Amino acid sequence: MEMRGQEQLEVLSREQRQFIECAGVGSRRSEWGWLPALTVVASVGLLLVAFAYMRSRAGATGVTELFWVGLLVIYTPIAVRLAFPDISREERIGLIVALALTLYAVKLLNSPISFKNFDELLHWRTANDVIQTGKLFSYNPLLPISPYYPGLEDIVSALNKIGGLAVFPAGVAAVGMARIVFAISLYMFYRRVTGSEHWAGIATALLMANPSFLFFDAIFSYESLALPLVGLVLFAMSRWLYGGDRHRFGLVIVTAIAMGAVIVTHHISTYAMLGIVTLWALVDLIYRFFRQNEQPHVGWALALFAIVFSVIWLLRVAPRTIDYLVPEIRDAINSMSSFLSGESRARELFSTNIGTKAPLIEQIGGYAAVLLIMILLGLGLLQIWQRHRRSIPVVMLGIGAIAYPATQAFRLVHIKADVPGRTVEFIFIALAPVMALGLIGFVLPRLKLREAAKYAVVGLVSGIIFMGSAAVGWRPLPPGPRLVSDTNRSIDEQGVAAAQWARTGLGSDHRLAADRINGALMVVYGQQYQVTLSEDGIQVPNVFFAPSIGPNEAYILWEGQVEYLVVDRRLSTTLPFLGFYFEQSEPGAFHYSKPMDPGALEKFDGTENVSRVYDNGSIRIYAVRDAWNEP
Amino acid sequence: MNRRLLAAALCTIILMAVVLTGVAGATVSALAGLALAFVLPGYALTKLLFPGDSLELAESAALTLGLSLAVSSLGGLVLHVLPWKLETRSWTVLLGGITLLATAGALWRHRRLNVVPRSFVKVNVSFTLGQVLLFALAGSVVAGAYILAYQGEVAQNRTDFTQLWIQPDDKAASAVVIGINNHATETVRYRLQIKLDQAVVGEISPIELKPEGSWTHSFSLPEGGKAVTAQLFRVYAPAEVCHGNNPPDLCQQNREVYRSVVLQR
Repeated sequence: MEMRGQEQLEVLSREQRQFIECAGVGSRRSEWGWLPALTVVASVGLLLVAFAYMRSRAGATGVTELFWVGLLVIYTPIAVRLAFPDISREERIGLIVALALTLYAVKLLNSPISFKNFDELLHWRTANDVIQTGKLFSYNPLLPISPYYPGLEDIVSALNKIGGLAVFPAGVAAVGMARIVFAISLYMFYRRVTGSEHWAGIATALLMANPSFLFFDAIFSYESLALPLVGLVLFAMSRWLYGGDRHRFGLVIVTAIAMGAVIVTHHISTYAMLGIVTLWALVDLIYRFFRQNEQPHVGWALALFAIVFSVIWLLRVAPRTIDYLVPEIRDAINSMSSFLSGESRARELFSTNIGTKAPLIEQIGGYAAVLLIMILLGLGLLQIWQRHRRSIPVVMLGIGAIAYPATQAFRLVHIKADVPGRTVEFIFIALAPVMALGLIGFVLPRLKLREAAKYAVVGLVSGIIFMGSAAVGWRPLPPGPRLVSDTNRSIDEQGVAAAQWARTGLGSDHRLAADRINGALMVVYGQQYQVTLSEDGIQVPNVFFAPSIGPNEAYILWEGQVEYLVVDRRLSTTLPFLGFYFEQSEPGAFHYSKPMDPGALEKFDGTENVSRVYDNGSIRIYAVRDAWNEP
Repeated sequence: MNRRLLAAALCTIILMAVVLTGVAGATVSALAGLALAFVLPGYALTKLLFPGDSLELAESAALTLGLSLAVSSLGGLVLHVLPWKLETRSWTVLLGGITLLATAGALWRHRRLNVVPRSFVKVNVSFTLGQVLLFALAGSVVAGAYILAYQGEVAQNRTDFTQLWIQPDDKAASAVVIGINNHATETVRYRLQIKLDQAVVGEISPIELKPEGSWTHSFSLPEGGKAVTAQLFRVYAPAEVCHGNNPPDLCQQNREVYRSVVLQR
């Protein structure tokens, strides 16, 4: 049943009353409602996830089911409660923060002792360099672009130098604090631009259902800091425009500081922020041109400030960004063109590089989530057109949300860069409130159920979207027995010990070649330089695959000036989990039918002028400098 | 006078002094780092930019944390550009200095605008005993989950292995340095044999290493020869190894090369 004019007036008045209470100081007693009980429920969900990981380590069955049950126990009750319209602001914000932190804890449970994700290792190296040299912009052989966006590493450096914290606890703390900022800032932003705490609460819960929130934006990586700072920008801008605040200059300063921090922290977040702010200013301009109304206007000053600062950073400090991003964008466009023209086939969904399929429950969840998102997107856009088309920020969010279907089309295409995965968290900033509007503006009034049941439906729908999105998004394998070529399940004490010995026994900054995992460990723990095909253009994998060291292999070693080879004998025990041992472009990548030839890994022992300088049973380090001469 | 601002300033000065003089223990240093990186600069800037009580508690929290993160991430750039490196002293002075300057500015603005400060102690947040107990229960369960994960990770990562390495001795022309590390949970005994080409030129036994124990030794070698080989064997006392309850091949392990390294000269 649609709300009539009088009911709308009553709703509006209730919302306005909430804002009036918000603006006052008062000594109003806070009401926590279900928050304490729901934090207990969420903690139980976390415990179920811990049990799932425990069973995974033991090789037991039922891990997937227990994991998903745990996640749903964390998410769904809070989503249901946030669907209630008449809960206090404190409870709403408390629930949002509790949800954000509990979901963060899921990631921490996966790797509670040190960073294990490959991207985390990349940034760990940058952090180590900043800590050891006391300067920025050192060279990172694994991710050369990383040092040019040092915001996260700056914070880790401060915590290390002042507080004596190692990189892992410092990084965990930094990303955790950023998650709190993200949750509160986006809630505040949604509340200001929508004028509704109810709408904002559901929108924030749906925002945390984006595929990247659970794991990718929780890892020790620059986006994990930059995205929350984008949230801070949006919060400050919305308060400046809609807060009726007399301290508008202060909000402008906050916005400028936060924008600057985003720009020095992450490239894609910077461009996403520019996109949002520019779109906002553009919609604002159009409205000012065609409609005369009393809405606050965002103007172009902040957008221009952000554009100018980011261009200066790009051109003067980080021009390498262009070489880093442009090929990925070009590859994505070419792949999509090829697919649309019929030259290439669609990618098989829910399938890994080596052909294994995701469990059925995850596939069903993934399809259901995308379907629900598309339906709610359509309903939300309809609601915007019918009831909110005079609101500049809501229209801006609606326009931004339309990008979602386009990015999902890239899931059908074979591309190196994960375009949907790298953009969805930004699109969800706009998509989440539009979906929330579809729920509360279209679905809720039409449900012929009791009030509590209606809100339960909203929460369940949110839960399905959360679970399906998490299934579709990137996530590490649960803990378990060692695998070859999967970072989370390949890093172990022997690899770390070998890398640590390399640093003390050989010294740092030697040029070496290794498989993907040991190479990353050598760079991070060993402070070495890994010669790779992708960065140096040297075909080092061929040296490992060849049955003997002949003239071709000697030439490769000379070309790469390789001093040491790190040989992990376990590469010959099983197929690589990701489909490749060294790099994606190695011969035979993604098509292995049997593991590496053990003889190829043992060949170095019989090679003239090659010394085996280290042996820990699984990993051997060979000095090969004397084995090649200048041709 | 705004007592909370004064308290923040005092806290900052104390933390700076403690860090700069180096008298703090690990815990206090960690707290100082967390406070200076995550709380104090953002709090002071929030009070400077928003005098009075127009901000909600949640907005204050978001601005305090967010501005602290932003200032810390930008602060590294400032230190890099200036002659100082990103070191303990420079970070402490930068973040503490920003906090103190912002606090001074906030006090001045509060006075100029005649802002009536809130009670120093009273916070507009209260919980019942039942709610506190529920939060405590949630915290306990979370801690339990983390302990489960932590112990599982430690146990799974645990691998017993031995490292053997060889390097030329920088201090002596014809010498090599050989090292052993025992990364096992029990004491292990080894026998080390050094060969120059195929001839045995040295042997040391037993080398007994406790868990995480290390051993290094420099060996002078005769001139000539192309390759120095160090072979490591595990040593089992015969009575422990060669008895009826053990597999018969266990006796053979005393003669099986456990680790081996080679240095070409």
